[in-house]
Amino acid sequence: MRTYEVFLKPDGKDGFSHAGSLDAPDDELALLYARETYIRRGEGAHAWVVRRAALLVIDPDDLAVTSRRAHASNDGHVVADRRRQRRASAEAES
Amino acid sequence: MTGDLRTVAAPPSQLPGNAADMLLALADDELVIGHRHSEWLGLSPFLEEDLTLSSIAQDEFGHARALYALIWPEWTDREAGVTRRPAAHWRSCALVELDGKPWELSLARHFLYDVAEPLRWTAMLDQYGDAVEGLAQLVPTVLAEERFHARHAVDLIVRLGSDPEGAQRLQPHLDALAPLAAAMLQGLPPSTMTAFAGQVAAALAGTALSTPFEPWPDGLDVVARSQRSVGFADVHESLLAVIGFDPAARW
Repeated sequence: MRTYEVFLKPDGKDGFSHAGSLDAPDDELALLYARETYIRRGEGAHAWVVRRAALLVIDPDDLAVTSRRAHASNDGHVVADRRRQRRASAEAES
Repeated sequence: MTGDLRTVAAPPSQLPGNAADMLLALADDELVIGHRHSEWLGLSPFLEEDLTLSSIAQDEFGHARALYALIWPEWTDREAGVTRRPAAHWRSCALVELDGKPWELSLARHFLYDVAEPLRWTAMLDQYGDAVEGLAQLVPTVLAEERFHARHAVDLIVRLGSDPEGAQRLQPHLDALAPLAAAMLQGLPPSTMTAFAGQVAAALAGTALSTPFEPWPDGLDVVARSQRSVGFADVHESLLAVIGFDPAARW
């Protein structure tokens, strides 16, 4: 048996999202089981069934650093603070 | 407890000729095979197979229900009534009535039944499509579902039948069920039977399984559809189990 991952997409602009997993002895039966397991009531207009072994997985440690990037975020405060200071010093001079 | 439940006589059908008999044979086969499939709920060898066979069972119940409605459109108590008919009034065949254990037997039966089923519906459409109101609308819907039933059965049989152990475990059941499958098709045009034997052989070609129809059985000692086979009693008992709790309840 192989493990497969099933992705469904409704008609329209929404993209594919993960529906779940299944085990099947081959690709043909995986397609059938995906339909019977996840798409009994029109849950998707398009379906991808992918062998789990075919998925390329990024090391979670490589992802963790991306959530610690406060130093690189630009929410406008730095510029706003600088403008406020310039305005204040300009007013003080006049 | 349910002995006294089997007393409902269906009203005479208004369908012309032998249309009611032929449609009833298909309807009762669908109801009984659906029930036999559903007995694997929670017991199939793996979860995906469990879901798939149960889903096929539901489809077959739906087909039976639609056929009963064509046969007895005016019968208001049809849903409970069909189940409460005495055994002699049923027209299911021995193939579907048979106890489904072990699972290999159920798979072999599912394969033979569902390769034959689209051919049976097509034959019904050809013979009665004009005479039976609603049949021509029903058949395409049914065939769209049946395509997946047959595909599932064939895929799995080919997969398991290509393995020596799988073939060894399936072959005896295919051989034993083949005459029952042939008997199921009695009354249909010879072209239907030829097509069935051809499709079974084509599906099994390339596997370690041998085709069970060589030659096609002639002059079968057919058990008439008015007689119930040994498997029917417990199907009927279990179909009546819930009605038995409260026979007067409306569902």
